[in-house]
Amino acid sequence: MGLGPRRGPQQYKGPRAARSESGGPSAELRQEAPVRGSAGPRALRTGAVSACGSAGGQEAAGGRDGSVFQLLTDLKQQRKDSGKHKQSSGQQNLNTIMYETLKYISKTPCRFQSPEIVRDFLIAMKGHKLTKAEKLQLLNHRPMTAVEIQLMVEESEERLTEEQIESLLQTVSSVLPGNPAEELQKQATTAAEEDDDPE
Amino acid sequence: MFVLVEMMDTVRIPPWQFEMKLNDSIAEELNKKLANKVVYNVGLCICLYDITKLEDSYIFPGDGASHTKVHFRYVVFHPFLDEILIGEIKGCSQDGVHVSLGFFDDIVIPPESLQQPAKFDEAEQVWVWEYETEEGAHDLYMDTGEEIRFRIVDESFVDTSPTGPSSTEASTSGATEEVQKKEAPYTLVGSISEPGLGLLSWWTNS
Repeated sequence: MGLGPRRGPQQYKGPRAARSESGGPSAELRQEAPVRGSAGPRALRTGAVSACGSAGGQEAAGGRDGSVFQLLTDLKQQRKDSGKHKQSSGQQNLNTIMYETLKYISKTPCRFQSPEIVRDFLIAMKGHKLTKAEKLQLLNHRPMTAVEIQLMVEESEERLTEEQIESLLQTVSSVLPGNPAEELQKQATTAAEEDDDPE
Repeated sequence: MFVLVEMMDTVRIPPWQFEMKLNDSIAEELNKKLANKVVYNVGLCICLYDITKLEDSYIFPGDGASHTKVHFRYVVFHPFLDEILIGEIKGCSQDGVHVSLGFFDDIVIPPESLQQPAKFDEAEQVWVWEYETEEGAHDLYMDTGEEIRFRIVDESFVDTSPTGPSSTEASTSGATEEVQKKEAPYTLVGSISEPGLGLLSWWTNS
């Protein structure tokens, strides 16, 4: 059950051709259906995921925020290394989006994730029967309360018992690093002990 | 929230860039063209991921530049429907709550998708959730700058590419009109009408 995400990202397979806003010559675009991601030689995840792909075809749909973080950090470094490059003058757009996106992802727990951690997480998730979209969101948000799980997992009341939600939370917090803040972590552990009564 | 999109384009490399490696100059050109731009029905382009295939380069008569057909993959911001995102409140208006992710601003949560019952405080120009408890109603304000968790419920792309001169009239008044309707090419519609959604501070200490 639940392996066909009804509201998963594959709804976006649609567009085949598109125009760039700049009005330039139309680039023919083909949106990669995220579900087929594993077929690509290198999807938007680094090496480790191909390993999990073979381990059970389990990989998050779409791009993890963490991998985008990695990519942007590398790119920034690369551009810094190449020095005051002759080209960089025309790249305000790239610099803006790079800066803003990095700033956004830096605030999320994704910045601490590595391909190895993601692989461990996906292996740990195998028993939970979640869809790719759901696992992706767990990775991106690193939920710490039951109410967050209920948001991310569709029909969680029917599919998950309270114990299962509890063990999901346990797995998430033990496998994924990066507490937004130490205080929040303390709050969460006490809250988890006190039980998951979200209002 | 991000996806990889396979694209194809023909890239023109002017002669003064021939000293660079072809891959590098193509990467530069692709980022120059696409980064921070919205592609219709695709999403907001972030940066080049990789080049998957380079076809032969051509030089056309009368132009010293080389033209190369490139297959590449680009990182694109395009959250799927029902995805949960966290953003920052940019402001409130009668139309609802406007949310920003920093790199993407065109997110609106319409009044009917707020936590109910909600009302708009005209004096402070802010939306309020009139949360009811046994002791009475609490007014929870949605102030600018607060972090907010929301669900994506709809998206819309507007084709903003220039159209030709459509009508012969309106040459001077057209210019002012143009400025006014500078529409966002890609808008997301959010919702917070579920438990767990809304300001992060509403749900942290239960």
